[in-house]
Amino acid sequence: MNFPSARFACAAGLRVELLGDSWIAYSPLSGETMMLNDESAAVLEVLREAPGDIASVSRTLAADLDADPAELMERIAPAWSLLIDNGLVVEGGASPA
Amino acid sequence: MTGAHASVPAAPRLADVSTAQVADALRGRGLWLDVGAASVRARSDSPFLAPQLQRAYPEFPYVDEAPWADVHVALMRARGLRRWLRPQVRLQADGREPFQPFPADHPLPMMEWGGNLFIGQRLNQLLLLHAGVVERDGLALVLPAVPGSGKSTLSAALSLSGWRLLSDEFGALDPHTRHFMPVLKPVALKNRSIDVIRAFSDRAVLGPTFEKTRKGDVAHLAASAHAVARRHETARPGAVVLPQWQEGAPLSFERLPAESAFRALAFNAFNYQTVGAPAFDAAVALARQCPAWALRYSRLDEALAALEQVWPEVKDRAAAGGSA
Amino acid sequence: MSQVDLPPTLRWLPALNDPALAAAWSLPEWDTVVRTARRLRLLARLAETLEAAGQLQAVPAPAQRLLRAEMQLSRWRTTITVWALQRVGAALADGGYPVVLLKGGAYLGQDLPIARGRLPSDLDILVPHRHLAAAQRRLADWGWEETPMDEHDQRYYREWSHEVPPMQHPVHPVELDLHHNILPPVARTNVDADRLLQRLRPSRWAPWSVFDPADQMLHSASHLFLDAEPRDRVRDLVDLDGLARHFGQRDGQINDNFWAGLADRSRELGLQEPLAQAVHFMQRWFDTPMPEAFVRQVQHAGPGTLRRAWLHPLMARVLTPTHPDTLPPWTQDFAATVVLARYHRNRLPLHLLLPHLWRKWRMRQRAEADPAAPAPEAP
Repeated sequence: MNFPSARFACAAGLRVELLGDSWIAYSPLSGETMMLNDESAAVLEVLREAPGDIASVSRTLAADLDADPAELMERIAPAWSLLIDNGLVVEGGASPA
Repeated sequence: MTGAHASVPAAPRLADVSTAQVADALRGRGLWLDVGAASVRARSDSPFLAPQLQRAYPEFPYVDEAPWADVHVALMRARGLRRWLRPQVRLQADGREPFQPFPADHPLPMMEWGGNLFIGQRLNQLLLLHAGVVERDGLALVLPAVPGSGKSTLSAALSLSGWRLLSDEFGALDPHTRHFMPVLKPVALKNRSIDVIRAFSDRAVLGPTFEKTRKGDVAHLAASAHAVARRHETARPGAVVLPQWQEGAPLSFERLPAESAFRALAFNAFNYQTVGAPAFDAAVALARQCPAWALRYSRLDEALAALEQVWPEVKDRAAAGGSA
Repeated sequence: MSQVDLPPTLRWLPALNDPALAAAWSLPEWDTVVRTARRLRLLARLAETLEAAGQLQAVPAPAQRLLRAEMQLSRWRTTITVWALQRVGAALADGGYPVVLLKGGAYLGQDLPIARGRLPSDLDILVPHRHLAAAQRRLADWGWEETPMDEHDQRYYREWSHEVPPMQHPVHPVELDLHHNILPPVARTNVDADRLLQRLRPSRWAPWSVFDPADQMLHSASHLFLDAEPRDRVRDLVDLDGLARHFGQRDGQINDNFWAGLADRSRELGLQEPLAQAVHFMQRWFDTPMPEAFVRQVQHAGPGTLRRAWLHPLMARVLTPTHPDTLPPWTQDFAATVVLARYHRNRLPLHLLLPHLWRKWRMRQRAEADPAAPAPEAP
C-alpha cells in the first residue's frame, strides 16, 4: 500500500548508533526504537545523504556493492516497508511541526 | 522533606516507635516514607498495617507530618457486609479504587504492589529500568529483570554481602546526569527465596510471610540502616549482569555484547518509550560504557563470588572511561 | 461582572489561564493540586501552561519534578498520536471524500493552545456515512483491525451508534475511533452530520479537515453534556473555555460575530441545551469572555427556569471532584446515576437500553476480575 515510487527521507532527528556490531535507530517522529538488520542499516545510510525512492537507493547500493540493482531492490524491499511503518523514514522529508 | 539540622533531633526509627503511635498516624494524617527518588504517604484504618510496616521499614525515620508525597495511598477496610464476612482491604489513591481488594490481613503487600505501580507510572522525569541495582565503590551493578532471573533474591543476597541496595525493582536512572537513584523499597521475596535468604544471612530482617497471594508466599526483606542512611546518594554506571537462576545449574558467567545489554535495558523498562530520545541516548551510553555479562547460577554463593571476581575489572573500566 | 464561583477543590483552575497565580502556592497546596489535576487529566496542561509562561522552573522542586514527568508523558502520547494521524491520513488520502479530525486531533491539527498538555489515547476521526465502508476497507488494507467484539456489541455499534468499533494497529499504540456522526443517530438529540460537513476547514495537515470553529465548540459541549460519563469532565470544560478564548476573541477584543454565529448554529443543529449548560459553567468557573447579549440569548433558548434549578446544580455536583483523600460520596454517585440514566436515555431508546446496560455491567465485572486491567471507559 505504500507507493514505491515516492521519495523518502530520514525522519527529522533520527538517531542511528553503532553498538558493537549492531546498528540501533530511534525516530523522534514515531518514538520507535529499532534494532536494524543489514538491509535497513544500508538503506538509512544512503538516505542520510540524500532523499530517494526505493529504485534510486537500490541503484546507489548496487554501485557501492557491485551488485545487480534489481536483485538488490528485492532484497531491501521488506526493510523499506519496515522503516516506513516504524517512522524512521518519511515521505518527501517534510514532517508535521 | 527538609534535611536534618544540628539543633533538630533526628526522627526516631519506625521500629522504635510504639505500634499504637504508628497506627494513630495511619488513621490520622498519615505516615510518610521517603524511599529516595520518591516518597509515599500511607493512611489506613486497618489494625494490621502498623505492625507490618514496622517490620518491613524498621530503619526508616518515623514521619507523621510532611508537606509533600509523590504517591498517596490509603488502605481501607471494606465497608458493609464485607467487613465481617471474609474481610477485605481496599487501596484508594487520589479518589479512585483502581484494584481488586486484598484479604484484610494483607495490607502491606497491597501497599507495596500499588505503590510500585504508581511509582512506575509517574516518575517519567527518570528512566525507570525494571532491574535490581546495588552499589559498591560508587558504581552501580544493574540486574535487569528478565523472567526467571531471580533478580530479587540475588539483589537481596548482595545487599547482605557488603553491597549497598538501591532498589530490587527500579533502576531509576536520571537520563541527564546518567546516575542511578535509589528507590529503596523492601525486597519482596517469593516462595522458596524466603527460606534461602533467611538461611543466607542472620542479618536478614524479614517481615511476616503472606501466604496464598497471587504470587504465592511473599515476605519482605527490610533495608539495612546503612542503605536507608544513604538513600539519597546516587551511583554511577558500573556493570550490567543478566541473571538467570536455574535449579542445579553449574555456574556460567559469560561476556555479552553491548547490543544485548542495550536490549536488556531498553526493552525491560517501565517507561522507556515515554521518556523518548533521552531514554535511547541513556541506554546506548550505558550499553557502551558498562561491561555486560550473562550469569547462570543455582547457588547464591557461587554467583556472588563470580561478581566479586569481576568487580576490579569493572572499577578499572569505569576509571579509564572517566564515567562522570 | 465576574460571576466566578468555584468549588474549593477547583480553586486552582484559574491558573490555567493566569499561571502567575501558581507562584503563591505552598508545597502542601501543590501536593493537593497535583493530585487533583492528575485525576482530572489536567496536570500536563498545567505544566505546559507554566512552562510556556517561563514559570515552571520556579515551582518547588518536588512538584516541579512531577509536573515535568507528566509533561513528558503528554508529549510522548502526542508524538505517537500525530504520527498515527499522519499514517491514517496517508491511508485515507484521495478517497474522494472528506476526512475530518475530531476533538483532540482537531486541536492538534490547528495548533491551538489547548493542543498542548493533552493525554491522547484515541484518535477520533469522521467520514461521511455513505463512505464509511470504503474508509473501513482502506484502513483494513493499511493494517488497522477492528477489536474482536461479540455480536450484541457489534450490532450496537453498527446500528445504533455514531461510530464503528474501535480499531487497532500492530505498530501504533493508539486506538482509532471512526465516526460518521458526532451523536448517535437513534438518540433523542441527533445532529445532521451533513450540515457539519458543509462547513469544513482545512487543518495544517493534508488531507485532514476540521469542523468550523462554532461546530467544534458545539461538538465539545454536546460530548460533555450528552455523550460521556459525566465524572471528571472538567477537562472538557477547560477545552471549551480554551476554544472560546481562541476563536471568540480577535486582538484581545470579543468577536461578536463569532458568538452570534454560535448561537444561530446551536439552534440550527438542535444543540441549544448543551450550549446553555456549557455557557453556565464557563461563566461560573472560568469567567470566559462572552458578549452579554449572547449569554442572554443562550439562556433564553436553553432549559427553562424550573429545569435549570435542578439541572445545573446536579451537573455541578457531578463535575466537581472531591478532595483526593476521599472517595466521591454516595450522593455524588446518586447524582451521577441520574445524569447517567439521562445520558443513556438520550443515546438509546428505553427498550434497547436495559439489555445493553446489563451487558456493559457484565463486561465491567469481567474487566475488574483482572486487577491489572484499567477501569473500562464508556464508549
